[in-house]
Amino acid sequence: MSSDLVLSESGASTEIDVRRPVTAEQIAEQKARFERDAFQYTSQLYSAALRYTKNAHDAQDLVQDTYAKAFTSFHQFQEGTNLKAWLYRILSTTFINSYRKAQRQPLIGSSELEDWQIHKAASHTSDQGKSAEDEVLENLPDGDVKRALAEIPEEFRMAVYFADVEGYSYKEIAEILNVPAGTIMSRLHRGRKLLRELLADYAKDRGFNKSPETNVEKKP
Amino acid sequence: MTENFIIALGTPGEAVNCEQALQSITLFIDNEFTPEMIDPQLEASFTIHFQECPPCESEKAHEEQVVKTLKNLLSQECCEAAPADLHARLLQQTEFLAAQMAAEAGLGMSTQVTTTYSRTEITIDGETHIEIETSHEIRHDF
Repeated sequence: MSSDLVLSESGASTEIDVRRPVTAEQIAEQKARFERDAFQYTSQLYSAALRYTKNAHDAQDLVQDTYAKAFTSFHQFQEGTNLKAWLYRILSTTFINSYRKAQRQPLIGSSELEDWQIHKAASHTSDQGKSAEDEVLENLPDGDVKRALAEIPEEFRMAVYFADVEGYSYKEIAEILNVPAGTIMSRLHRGRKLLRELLADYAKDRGFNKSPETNVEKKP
Repeated sequence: MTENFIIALGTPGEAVNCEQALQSITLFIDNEFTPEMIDPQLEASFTIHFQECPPCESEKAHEEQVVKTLKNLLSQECCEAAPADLHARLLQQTEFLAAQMAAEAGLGMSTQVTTTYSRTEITIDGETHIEIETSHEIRHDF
């Protein structure tokens, strides 16, 4: 694992700790640098926090806790590496350690989660299936995707969020969530699939796209 | 030479089947067909399969388009701005933590931090609400 996301809950290694600010000037410098570099990501962190907590009050607290931890360990952050990803990792760790238990969010079993080979996309989708999905996506009302994302289990939700909204690579997401990169691929694959199934369900509930037969006439 | 690729999919030198090709689509969509993730020797076998198998090629094109649409929708809908008072709280918190850091470093004589802590417990109809308020007063003497 690369060292650009060094974060230790139980204290830093001595090598890193040498950089801990001790003089008034060093503390003032760290504070100024933190305010200049880290505060620009508040909205992005808030948005990620909302995906985790699903409510504005907890999301604000989570962001605040994240910035508190980030500031006190800011001397461990290596200049020139990705600060936003470093902050996301603190946010994720903080959520898992402090908020998840309180929220009693259902988690999926690890065996269900880890092995992407279990979820083989074994067959081709029919043309009818493809056009039905295209139609669902073209006619989505505002808010459906956000609602669907909130409904899928946390592990899948956050992998999809970091990949599809933030545009991070598997390796970067693996470091933020502290899981292997292969697992990220599995979670993304499954997460997007669940998201699409939910969107199709919403459309069906609305009475749209009820019978595939009605689509046949549209074919050229 | 290390053979430890993160994704074990297919065997170099052997033709790729539909199942393997379908599984590889996620890697292509995410631009993760990289030497770090999967054996680069396999890329040609996958490319050949997609060229020769219209159903797999069509599946890949459809997946690419769907994921692109999802990305656009997610990016549009999941970008809430942080509330203004959160910014204020963060500034105040950093101020407090910096003062605490100075105090811990033995620079305490120049900084005084007073923490007020109150806990209010209200029970109405058997339901208990607990409110905890913490406020910090920071004084710098230069």
